[in-house]
Amino acid sequence: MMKAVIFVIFIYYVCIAYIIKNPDVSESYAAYYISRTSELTPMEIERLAPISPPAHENHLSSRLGFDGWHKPEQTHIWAKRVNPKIFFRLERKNTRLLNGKIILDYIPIRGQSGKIYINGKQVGFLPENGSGHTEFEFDKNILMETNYISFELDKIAIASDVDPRSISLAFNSVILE
Amino acid sequence: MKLAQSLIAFCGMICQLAYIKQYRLRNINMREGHKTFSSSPEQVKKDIQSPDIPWWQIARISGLAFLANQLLELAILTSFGKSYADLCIWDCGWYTTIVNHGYDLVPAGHDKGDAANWAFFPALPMISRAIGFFTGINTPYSLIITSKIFFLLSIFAFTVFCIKYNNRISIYFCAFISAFQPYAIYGNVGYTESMFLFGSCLSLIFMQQKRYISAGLSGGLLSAVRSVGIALCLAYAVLFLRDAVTRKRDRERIIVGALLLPLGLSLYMLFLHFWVGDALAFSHIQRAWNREIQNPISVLRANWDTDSINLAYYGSALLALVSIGYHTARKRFDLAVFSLFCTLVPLSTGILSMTRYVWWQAPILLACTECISALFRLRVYSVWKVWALRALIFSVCSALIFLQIFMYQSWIENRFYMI
Repeated sequence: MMKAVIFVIFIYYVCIAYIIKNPDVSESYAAYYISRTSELTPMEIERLAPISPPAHENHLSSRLGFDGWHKPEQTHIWAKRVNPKIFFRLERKNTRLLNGKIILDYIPIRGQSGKIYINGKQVGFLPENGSGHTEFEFDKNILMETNYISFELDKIAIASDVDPRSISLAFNSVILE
Repeated sequence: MKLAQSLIAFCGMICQLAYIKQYRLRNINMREGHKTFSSSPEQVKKDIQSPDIPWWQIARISGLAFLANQLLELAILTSFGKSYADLCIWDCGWYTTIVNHGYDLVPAGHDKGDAANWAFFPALPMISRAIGFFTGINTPYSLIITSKIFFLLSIFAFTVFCIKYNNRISIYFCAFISAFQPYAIYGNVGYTESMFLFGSCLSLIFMQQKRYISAGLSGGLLSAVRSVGIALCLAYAVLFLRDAVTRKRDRERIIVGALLLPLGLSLYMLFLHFWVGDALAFSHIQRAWNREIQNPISVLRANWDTDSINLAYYGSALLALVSIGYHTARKRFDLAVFSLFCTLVPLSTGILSMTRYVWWQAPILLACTECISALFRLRVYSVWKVWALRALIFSVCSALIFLQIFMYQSWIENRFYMI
């Protein structure tokens, strides 16, 4: 009898260990609470007002959610790590209005290069010593209600002798067509 | 105001009488020019507690201590013009949301919308809801009453716990120290501290009696009160790991007891997985309170300053470490390891609230009670030392009472350091 009880409880704890290892949560929840790689809460992302394409949003736009960026400055906002993200939301009905083109204005640090992703799928790259303006097309079917543009950058630097911030790329604006 | 002052003085008198009762001055030999604080050897033997103290005597003294505490609280609330419902703030407010609306589906609390009530374990709200359902009282009152019920039970359980570990200890000291310890307020304000003390004492008592299944069940309930309740597994392992290997006859029951200890926590995890998708949501949500795992030593170093509030937290953490060393020296490794876990886990997430985490641990209260009890067993031979000791007792009792007044005032004024 005791052996049966021990067996049942043991199997129960094995199930508990399994569910601990395999949470069933959204990516934004996992990024904020579990891996702690995101600074934006799921609620802050949900509260973003949806953009209507064609949309021209700059670094001060309240319709963009900046994750991994310093405070915005007058003309740009600096990323503080090599994998910053920019969140935005779309209304479902507006997805079909898109042509699937993105135009990005940015300021790289010297020698910077990297890749650009939308919702985890690579859509373009930033050439080394690029001009700070890039356009690329993508498959608009990868867009959902909540989306993010993410970067995978090669370099990070200290801003200056008097400014100890880590910086990798400055974002000016994005046009979504 | 005069009534309040009278009640406060009355409570102080009860406390002091209770402390002095065990040590009546006898056989004062004025010709020999000295007094003994404790009298003849026969009297001393009588004063030493028998391990077979009837439960009703313990209950009577526990009830007296609890009553004194409640009278003091009533006097303080009356003098401040506040009611019991005004005590349900901070975490009690979170428990209110659980009782009224259940657990959150998504985080939405705080300005960033990242807080949820998942950090607050279900035992207290479930019992409060049951009490509210059967009595018809509103949620804040049911939470307050639940914590008071467990406060009374915890005084009783702590007294029995003290006797199990040290049968020479005065049950008056045990009862009154647990009722009037510096942070006793948390037993009256809808927090889980009293339930935690009760559950931990109960489980440790059962472990002392080698009642493995009972220890496991009570520990399982404790793990549904607070996450650190899981520390009983360590105490259990220290006591019974060797028995599990060497004593074939008890092995299965020891294993079942051990498996039951995390039951409450595991059931809560199961619920969270199906409710929000994350079994560890109670831990992950701590990010909303800026709590993350750090080195406890770094936390202590970072918070060393002369600010009085930080000093209280710091002092409590040090008291805990000293108590752990004390129990280790007395070979009570089960208590030492339990207390170590219950101290280091909250300390690793910050120093906030360390006072209540420390002062509501049974091993630490036991260490304090034993030290105070030992002080009273000193044989004093001069008149001035007797009076000095009496003055010390009076001062300590008065200080504890005024500390309680300060605590309640800070609580009513919503001071952040009381969180």
